[in-house]
Amino acid sequence: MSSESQLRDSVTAYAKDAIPIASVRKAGGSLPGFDTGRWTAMADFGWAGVVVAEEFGGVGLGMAEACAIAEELGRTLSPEPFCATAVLAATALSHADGPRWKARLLRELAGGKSVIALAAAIGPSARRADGCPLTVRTTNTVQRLDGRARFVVPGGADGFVVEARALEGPELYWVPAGSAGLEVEQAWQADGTPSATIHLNGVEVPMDNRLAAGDVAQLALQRAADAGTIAACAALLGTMRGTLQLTLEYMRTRMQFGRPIGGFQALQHRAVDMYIQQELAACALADAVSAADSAAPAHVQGKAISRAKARCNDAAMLIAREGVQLHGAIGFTEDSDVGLYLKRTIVLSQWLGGSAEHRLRYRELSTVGENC
Amino acid sequence: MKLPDWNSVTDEEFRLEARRFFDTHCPQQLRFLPRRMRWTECRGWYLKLSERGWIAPNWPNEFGGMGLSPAKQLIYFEELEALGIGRMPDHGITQVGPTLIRFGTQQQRARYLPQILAGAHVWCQGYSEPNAGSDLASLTTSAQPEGDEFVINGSKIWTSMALDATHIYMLARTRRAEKRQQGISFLLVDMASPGIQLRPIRNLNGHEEFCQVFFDGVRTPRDSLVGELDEGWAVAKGLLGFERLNIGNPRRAMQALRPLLEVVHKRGLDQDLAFMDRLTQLQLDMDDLNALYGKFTQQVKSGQPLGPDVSILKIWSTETFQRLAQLLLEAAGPYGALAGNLDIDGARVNVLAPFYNSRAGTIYGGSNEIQRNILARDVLRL
Repeated sequence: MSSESQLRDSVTAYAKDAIPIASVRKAGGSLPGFDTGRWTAMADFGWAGVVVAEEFGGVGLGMAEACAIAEELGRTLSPEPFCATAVLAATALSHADGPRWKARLLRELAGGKSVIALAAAIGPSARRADGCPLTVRTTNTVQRLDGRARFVVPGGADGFVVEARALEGPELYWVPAGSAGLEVEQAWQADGTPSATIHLNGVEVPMDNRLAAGDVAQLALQRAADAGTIAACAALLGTMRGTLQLTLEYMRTRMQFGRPIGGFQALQHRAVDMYIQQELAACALADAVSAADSAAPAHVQGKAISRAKARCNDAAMLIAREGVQLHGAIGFTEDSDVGLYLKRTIVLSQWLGGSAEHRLRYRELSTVGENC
Repeated sequence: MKLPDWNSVTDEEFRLEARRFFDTHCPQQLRFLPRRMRWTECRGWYLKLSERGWIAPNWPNEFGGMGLSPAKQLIYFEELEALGIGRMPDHGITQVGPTLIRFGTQQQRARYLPQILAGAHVWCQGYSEPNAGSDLASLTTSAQPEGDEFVINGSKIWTSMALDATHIYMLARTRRAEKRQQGISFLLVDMASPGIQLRPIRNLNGHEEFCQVFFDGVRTPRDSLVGELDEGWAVAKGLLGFERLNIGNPRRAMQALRPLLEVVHKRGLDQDLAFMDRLTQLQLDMDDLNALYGKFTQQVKSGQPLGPDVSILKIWSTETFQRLAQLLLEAAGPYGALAGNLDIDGARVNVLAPFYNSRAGTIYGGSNEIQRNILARDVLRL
């Protein structure tokens, strides 16, 4: 059996008891926005450190394995920060080179001791400057950071890897929560998890809090964006599977006109269209994973990843909307689980780039190949 | 003769070789036709492919095919489409071959497969009847066992390329049974048999690509039966997987994508961001279609039977083709109203042909509504 399917099975087995849907509902709207006990357990299983190299306390696996976990956690609506911390932030840190903090932060991240968030202008939407770049000024002994970063998840992180713009290009700094001059303002996402705007008003960090600069930082951000986007696709595929399964069960049992509503052809065909989109998303994700785990040139990887995110966003939103509709009035109640799937789908599909933005990136990267 | 293993060369090498070979040997007058190729015009090209052992990319090597991996098959079809080389009468390659390899006897394979490869037999499909379309199991054409023969009476309709075919594979009722799917047999019939008559039917695109085929006391030997007597439904169902895989071949949709990209470029639509987003959406649909096709082709290649889920490929392929054809029409602007071969600012295209041709795919091979019924019942368990 492959390591992916083993992982998938163990996540399924764990989630079955440990992540009841009632707990998902309860966790919403309060910090940290997930269950710290569960996150510790996930770290103990090696999931938090799945992409972290063994020398830094992780298990050193690839995107295929990370996606198996993300998909299952997506299916069970786990609010734990797997995609944002264990994939996005972990990948940025893995490509950093700051000697003082890199090993320590990766170890803490993989061990579940620190929940770390990446605060950077990444993904195709970054160009719209929703995330205002921070600036950095270097004095003799400290770095002084000013500015703000938006849409930082998980909002309740223990510390942030922040991107700042220096003259020479992007740089990454480690800024622990509670630093003087750091203000963390929470906004609540549709699914009840926190998204932070972090304000840095002259936050001073020692010189060696710099994790990466120049080309290294650039590459770390690109790799993080790619890996995070793929993980988001996998989580979306999980929400698709969860929504469709829930909806099909409802269609098989809900009786109207003396028969299960799933017996009506008009509804059957809508369910089939949901299924088709789910399977296309799975194919697109599989291509993105194999591109990312291959030695393909960056623009080829980027195209496959943007293609997958565009498909997964649109497919998951279609499935979530149709899921609500096919549930009828129950689907419009707060009590219905299909609504939880819709809300998680909204959050994931807006994260790291919407469909139109990814289609634009796909188009731009297509011309890269032609010019070679 | 030992055929070379094309799976062992790189994708890029294979692509270049396919392009070189197709471009060198396919006559120019067969390129970019707005309709299916007729046998008389494409026979030489068929034989050229056959001579080289390149006529059956999907068959295993041991039966004279290329045994290509899914990725290589895709490249094979992409290169054909890029050169504007359309489909020949190909039911022998795509349908009969795989069916006999799976269900046929040694004798049937020995008798028919080499003839298909050599272009001596051209096949068409006799399934639909005037009163048995989506409800195929209600078919009434009969094949009465008499001595060592069957005697066939009735008619088949929407039989594509029947005018060119030397043989027809067909479903006929050999016994009245309680359950309609029982008592149907799968037969291989020589079109030269006395008692067969053809009535060509003109299609929406103005071409006589299909026919009604009449059977009046047509005699065919007992050994033309594939599978068990009265159990033809199972053979037909086994074949449906191949049919859906064949209809799901992205090459049909590529027929619309290629002229679309050309028209977009020539008419300067690449400056129109709103239009380009729609175009990109369809290109992604096409990419995902390729991936889906690769997945099911891999399943066949690794020897696993195709399940009912292959219907999603048929649906996605045919509907993607239609969306592309629709966008081509829109991209052409006022040219979109003009019939025939056009010159749109230097792009030589036929805008309406893909639009018309794309209508058929969602209807034949089990309409897309029937495919959705199947998926709902057999995959989603509704």
